[in-house]
Amino acid sequence: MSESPVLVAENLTKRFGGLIAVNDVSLEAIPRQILGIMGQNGAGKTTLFNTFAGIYKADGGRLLMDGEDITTYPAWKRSIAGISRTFQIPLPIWSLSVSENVQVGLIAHGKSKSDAKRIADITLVDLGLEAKMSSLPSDLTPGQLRLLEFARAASLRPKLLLLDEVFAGLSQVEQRSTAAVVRKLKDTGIAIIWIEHNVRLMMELADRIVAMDHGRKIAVGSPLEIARNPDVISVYLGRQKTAGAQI
Amino acid sequence: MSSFKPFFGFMIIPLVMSVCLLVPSFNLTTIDLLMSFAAYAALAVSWNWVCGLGGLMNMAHIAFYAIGAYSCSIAVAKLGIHPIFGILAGTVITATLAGVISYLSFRLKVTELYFALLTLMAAEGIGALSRGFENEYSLGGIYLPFVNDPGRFAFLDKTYYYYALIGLTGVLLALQLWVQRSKWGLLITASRDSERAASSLGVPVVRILTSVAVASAIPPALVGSIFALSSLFVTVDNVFPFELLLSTIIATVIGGLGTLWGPFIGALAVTLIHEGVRRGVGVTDAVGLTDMVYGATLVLIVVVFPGGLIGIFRQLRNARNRRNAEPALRPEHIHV
Repeated sequence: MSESPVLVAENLTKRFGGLIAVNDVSLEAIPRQILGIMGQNGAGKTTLFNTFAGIYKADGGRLLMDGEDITTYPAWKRSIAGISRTFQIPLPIWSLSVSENVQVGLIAHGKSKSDAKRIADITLVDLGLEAKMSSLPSDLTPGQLRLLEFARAASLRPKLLLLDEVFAGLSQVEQRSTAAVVRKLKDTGIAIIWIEHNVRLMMELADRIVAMDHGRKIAVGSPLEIARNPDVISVYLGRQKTAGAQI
Repeated sequence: MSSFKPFFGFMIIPLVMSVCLLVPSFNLTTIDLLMSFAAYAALAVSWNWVCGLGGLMNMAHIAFYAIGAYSCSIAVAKLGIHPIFGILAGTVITATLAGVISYLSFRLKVTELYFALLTLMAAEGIGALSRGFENEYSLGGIYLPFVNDPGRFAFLDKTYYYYALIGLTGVLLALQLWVQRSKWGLLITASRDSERAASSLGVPVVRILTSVAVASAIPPALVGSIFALSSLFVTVDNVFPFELLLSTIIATVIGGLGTLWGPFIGALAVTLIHEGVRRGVGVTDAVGLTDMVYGATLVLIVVVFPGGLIGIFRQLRNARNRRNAEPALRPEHIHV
């Protein structure tokens, strides 16, 4: 029996002038499940994330978190309500150390300074960043910056974790350790929504996938169902080449 | 060593302030010069809170100073009540004003240079109101009684006002040190450096930065009140001097923006350079030579020490650390 959804998006729409970046999208994030969002560049994936996280205000539709309407909540209040996110382009706080970067969110969520440091350090050890705890973000490689993004979001133990291309630029080893942490977080009961361009990785990790194109949801289902969906295949491979094609 | 550092940080403040308190007894210089330094120091330290720590270019600092001076002088000279009520009223008015300006700016997304312009306009507006008030009700300014009444903060000896300003600066520095080491300090830095990242981590950025703006608006009101009590005369021209705002900003920047001791050192430097230049070339100041030399000296400091004068101490500390880190090569270490 599946659990009740943490987040319900109902007919979410986001416009930028005449451009409809997210068009009437509805979806549900369920605990202990990874919901993958795939689509080509400009499909509206990151805009959808920013609308979930409160960076953008939705122009239409509703967002319900555990049944509570959070559509008008600012970003910080959504984080307190249990939504954590990573950014596609890492946004570290450059003047704080790696450990302090992680501690900020924990302190904002009411943890004491000592608890925040302890949790931050455990998270960074899990992700293999123990040698960089006292370093500034400017000393990190692009892959390590992505891990820091992930550490900041994951350390908050949110109800819903939004991961925006968190595996991009990671080495094979880093991908494996990050995937292990993602699985561990999922098993603790967190719902995860995950944007990823690496289709192979998504097929391996996601429980359900939403495919988007030009701001619209064109398909939803298990990885296998999505791989066989003709609309998805036509978007990825072009309409002329769909016969017999597989992702 | 690590447990010693915080203790040292808190101990150095009363130590430095004690030295400053002893200076008048050496009769090294005039009390007016010391008061200028102490006023610059308190103003610079508090401006550093809003600009250095909060990242907000608040140009209304001078207006907060004026409000403090006016509220105190009105309480004493017009209402005949204890100055403490005027001082309290000044702090409440400036804190409220700073809160309203900051909150509206964040809500309306007025940031960076636009925030500077907005606060400058607010200062100009308050200046115009004060001028109107002065023309209507108190032509020629407000005069405070020339009496010695310590119970009403009235001293004929200005040294006591210098002590008050230095004491205030010490309290402000201790507060800053405490904040920088607290949870609040971490949230302020995060809010300043990346609003988007901080808010996505649950930091109420608008609330945090508004609280910084409110906190930094109170000290200039206190400095303004002390100025009114010591000068015994308050007029628009002496509480809205644009050069006071400039000196506050210059002291903070050349000392070291965002640092603990930078604004204090900057205030000392600004006072000494200004006085040195004035004494050196002041007699021939027919074409504004004093200001030109003063400006050139400040530019030179900014060029040579881009991180502020506090950078000198950091360089010395880093050099010492490097020296300590390098193992000494002695003959017994060489194995053939």
